Amino acid sequence: MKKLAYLLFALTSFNALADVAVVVNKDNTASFDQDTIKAIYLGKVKSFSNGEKAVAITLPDDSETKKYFVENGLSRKTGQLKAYWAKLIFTGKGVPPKVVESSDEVKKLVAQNPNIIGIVESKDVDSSVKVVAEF
Amino acid sequence: MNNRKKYSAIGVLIAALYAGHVGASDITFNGYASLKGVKLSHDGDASPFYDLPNEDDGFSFSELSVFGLQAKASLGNGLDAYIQLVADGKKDFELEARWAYMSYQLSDNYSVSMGKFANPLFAQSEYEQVGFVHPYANLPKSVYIGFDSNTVNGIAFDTNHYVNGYSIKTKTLAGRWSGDQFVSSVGEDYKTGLDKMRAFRVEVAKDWWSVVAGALRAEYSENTELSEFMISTIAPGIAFALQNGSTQAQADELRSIVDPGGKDLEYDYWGFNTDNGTFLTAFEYAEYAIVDALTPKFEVWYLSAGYRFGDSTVSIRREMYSQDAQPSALDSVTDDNLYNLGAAVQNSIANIGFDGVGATYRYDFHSNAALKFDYFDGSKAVIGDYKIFTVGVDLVF
Repeated sequence: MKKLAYLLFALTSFNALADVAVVVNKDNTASFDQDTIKAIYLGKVKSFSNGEKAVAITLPDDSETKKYFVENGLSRKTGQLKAYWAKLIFTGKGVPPKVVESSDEVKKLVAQNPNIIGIVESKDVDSSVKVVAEF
Repeated sequence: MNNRKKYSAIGVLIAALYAGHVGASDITFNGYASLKGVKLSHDGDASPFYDLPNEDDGFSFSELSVFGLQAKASLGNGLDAYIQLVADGKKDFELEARWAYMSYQLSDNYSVSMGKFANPLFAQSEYEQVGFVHPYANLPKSVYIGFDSNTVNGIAFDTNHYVNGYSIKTKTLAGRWSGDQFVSSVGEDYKTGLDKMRAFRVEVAKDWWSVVAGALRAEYSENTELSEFMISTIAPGIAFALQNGSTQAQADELRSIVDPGGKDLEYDYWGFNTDNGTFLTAFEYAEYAIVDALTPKFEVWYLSAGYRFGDSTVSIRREMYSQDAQPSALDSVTDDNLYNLGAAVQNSIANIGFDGVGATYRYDFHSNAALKFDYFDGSKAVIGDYKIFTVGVDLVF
């Protein structure tokens, strides 16, 4: 019983920290797991599991939501990620996710385009988008 | 290429990019800059590296600095045009189109490129001038000593797959290069070329680690300035040998060994990199040589370890650069006078390797910029001990 209580506490604590949501268009039928999301955001995968083109968008560097996602969702430090993308940019091998200014803009673009995947602060999620993961 | 031709070529390429913009959906500019100050001290009279300032020059801010601007025009349907303009302190900041190529994305996994682009001589050759991407002030000189042949004209086929969390990339390249080769024994550049170049590399990565291996084969162009220079070094010795009993056929045999023209060049390298966000390690090994030539065989490597805390990274490294004579190169020379002549030339251009240890402190004071302090303590044959202190800022935009 003690173990169950501890597990529930741990899960509750985890949820309290899960303040970044990865969102896609409501009509997006692809399946997602953490590895897939990471691969899309690192430019390693360019299509969703349903074969449709994947276009990642993100928030500005100074956004706490983005910093949290980079550290917890992509398992990288901000500078490390910047260096990673610089390698790809200057070898013509990739383009980093387009930066949009706010969670509202992310939701607007995601709602309009089934190819887009974005990140927003969890508290900003509404019915216009579908959450596929939280960090 | 003289300056007028160089600038005119750049002008045409820029015009082409803008002309392409009429029908393009997107044009993107990215850039990088490294502003480095370097101070060298050494035991001997000569500087250990031709591209570093002399000790008497004091603190110099030009030799290691470089500025680059890349334009990418996306023409739609997977077709992109790239140009990368670089002003390099080693070349008095003369603006040069380092890369200019077209790339066509056949699918998510395959692309083909044509034009002038980076030559994957070593693991990080494709972005070796972008200082922001690595923890050092400069990539370890043992491996990245600076070859003019780090760009190539040709065609490349890239593959990119992601399978069960593993990222697998390959590059297959065919092309040619012409340019200058520095001959350290006389401190001069000589025009030469590499024909029939073909290269292959494979990189496998997962989460926090990657391994890379590659090989390049090419054939030295014939009748170049480099060939003439190499043959000229033995001309007096051959005249002496001919007067003392050597035959013309024996002399021609030695000339053919000394001349790199028509000979095969072989590069092989491998390395690994780990970075879990806190601890970093890197290792690269390469060996290269002109087959059956009087020039040495090069074996180079570095090993580094680093620790990242907050916005700071400290790293230490050990480097080794050796260039040993290829003893079998003179096996076919039977005449004693000519053999001794060949051996003397061989020894004069071999065994001048270096090794040393270095440490770098990197501070990311901005999300796009890093301040670096680097100290290297090395020893080079003939030159003696030397120390290099570098301070600089690397940025990307």
